[in-house]
Amino acid sequence: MNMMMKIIRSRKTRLLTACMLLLPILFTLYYFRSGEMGSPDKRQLELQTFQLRDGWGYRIMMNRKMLIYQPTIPAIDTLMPFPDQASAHAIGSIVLERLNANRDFSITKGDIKARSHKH
Amino acid sequence: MTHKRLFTLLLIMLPAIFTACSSDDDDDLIGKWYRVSDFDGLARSDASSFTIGNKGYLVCGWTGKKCLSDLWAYDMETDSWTQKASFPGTARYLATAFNIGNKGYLGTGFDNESYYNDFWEYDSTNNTWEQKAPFPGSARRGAISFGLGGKGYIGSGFDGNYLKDFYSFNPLSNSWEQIISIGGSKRTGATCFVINDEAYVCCGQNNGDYVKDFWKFNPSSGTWSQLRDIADTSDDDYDDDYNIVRTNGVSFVIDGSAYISCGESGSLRSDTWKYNPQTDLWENVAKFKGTPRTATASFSSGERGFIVSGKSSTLQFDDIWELHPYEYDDEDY
Repeated sequence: MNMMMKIIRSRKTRLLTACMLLLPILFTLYYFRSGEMGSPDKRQLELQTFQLRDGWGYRIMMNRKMLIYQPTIPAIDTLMPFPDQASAHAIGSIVLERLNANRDFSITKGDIKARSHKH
Repeated sequence: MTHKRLFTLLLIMLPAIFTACSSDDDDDLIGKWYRVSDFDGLARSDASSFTIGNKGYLVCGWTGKKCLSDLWAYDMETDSWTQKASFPGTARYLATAFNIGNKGYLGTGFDNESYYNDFWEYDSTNNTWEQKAPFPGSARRGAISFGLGGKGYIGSGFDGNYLKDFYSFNPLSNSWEQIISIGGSKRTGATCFVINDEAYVCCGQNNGDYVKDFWKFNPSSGTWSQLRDIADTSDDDYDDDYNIVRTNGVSFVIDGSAYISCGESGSLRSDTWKYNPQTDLWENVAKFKGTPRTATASFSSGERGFIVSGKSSTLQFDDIWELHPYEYDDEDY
C-alpha cells in the first residue's frame, strides 16, 4: 500500500514539475508571438468594384475593413476613374492576387498599359 | 526548505519573474501607440513622406532587394490607402520630401549606384508629377527638408562626405538659392520638424558620432539659432536623463509639440521624446510599441502623428502606428 502511495505521489510530482516547466515555455511563446508582419493566413481579402459618376473604382477589403480605396486609375498621372467595371475589376484582381501571394502589390504603369493593350 | 520544494517554487514564480523583467520603464510615461491599417505586404524602409491635410503620402523606398517609385496616400480619417501616380524619376531611397500647400516635393536620394540631385513636384489636386529646377547642391542621400513660409528647404546629407549646406526653393519662380548653412555639425540621417513657422533640426550622425547640437531656422531672418543640446552636456539637471541622439529617427508634430522616435544609435531605438518649443525642453514619453526600427517614415498633420514602414537589421516593415499623446498604456511592452 505504501509502495502504491509513493508511486502515485511520485507521478503527481512529475506531472506538477512538467506543468511548471511547460508554463514558462508557453508564456514565452505567447509573449514573443509573431504579429508584426502581416500574416497571409489571417487575412480575408475581398475585391469590390463600385460605380462613380464618371466611371468605376475598386476597393480591397481586408477582414471586412477597407484597406485600399481606389477611385482613380493607379500609377499614372490622372484623376480619371476606370472607364468600366471590367477594367476596374481586372486591375483590382491583380492587386488581390499579389496581396494573396504576399508580394509587392503596387500597380505599375506597365500593368495599366498591358490592360489597355488588351482592350 | 528542501531543494525540490525550492525548485518547484522557483518554477511557479518564473512567469511572474519573467513578466517583471520584461516590463519596462515606460509604466508612467504618457502616450499610447495604436497599430492602425497595415500597409500589408508593401514593406519598405528609407521611404520619403509628406503630409497634405489629413492625407499622408508615402513614396519611393527600399524593399531590401529593390528601389521603389510608387506613391501611396494614407487617409487618416478612413484608415485606408489609395495608390497615386508613381514617381516618374529613377526609383530610389533615402530621398527627402516635404510639402508646400497642397503640393509635395521630392528630391535627392540614392539607388545603390548613384546619388541624385533632381527635384520633383507632386500636385495632389491633379495627381500629377512635374520635374522642377534641380537641387543646386551636390547629389546626395540622407538630406533633410521642410516647407516653410511658402518655400522649400533642403540641406545636409551625405555625398561621400558629410554635409551641412542648405538651399531654399521658391516654387513661384522655380528657382533655388543657397542660404546660410546649418550651424554646428555636418550631419546625415538628421530629423527635422516645423512648429509655428520655424524649422527645427536635430539628431543625425557625422563620421560615426551622434550629433548633439540642435538648431532652429527662422525664415524671416534667414538665420539659424542654436538651442540646448539634446544630450547631457550641461551642468544643470534638466538634461541628466537625455538620451535623444540617434540617426535615421523620425518626427511628427501634434498640437505644437514635436515627437521623435525610432532610429538607431548602435542599436535600434524605440524610445520616444517630446519637444516643447516654449521651454526648449524634452520629455521622455511612451516608447514606440512596434518592433524597434530605423529608417521609418512619418505622417504629421499637426493634430495626428503616424509612423509607417521602416526596417530592423533583418526585416522591412509594413505596419503603421499612431501615437495618442494624452493617453496612458496599461499594457507592458
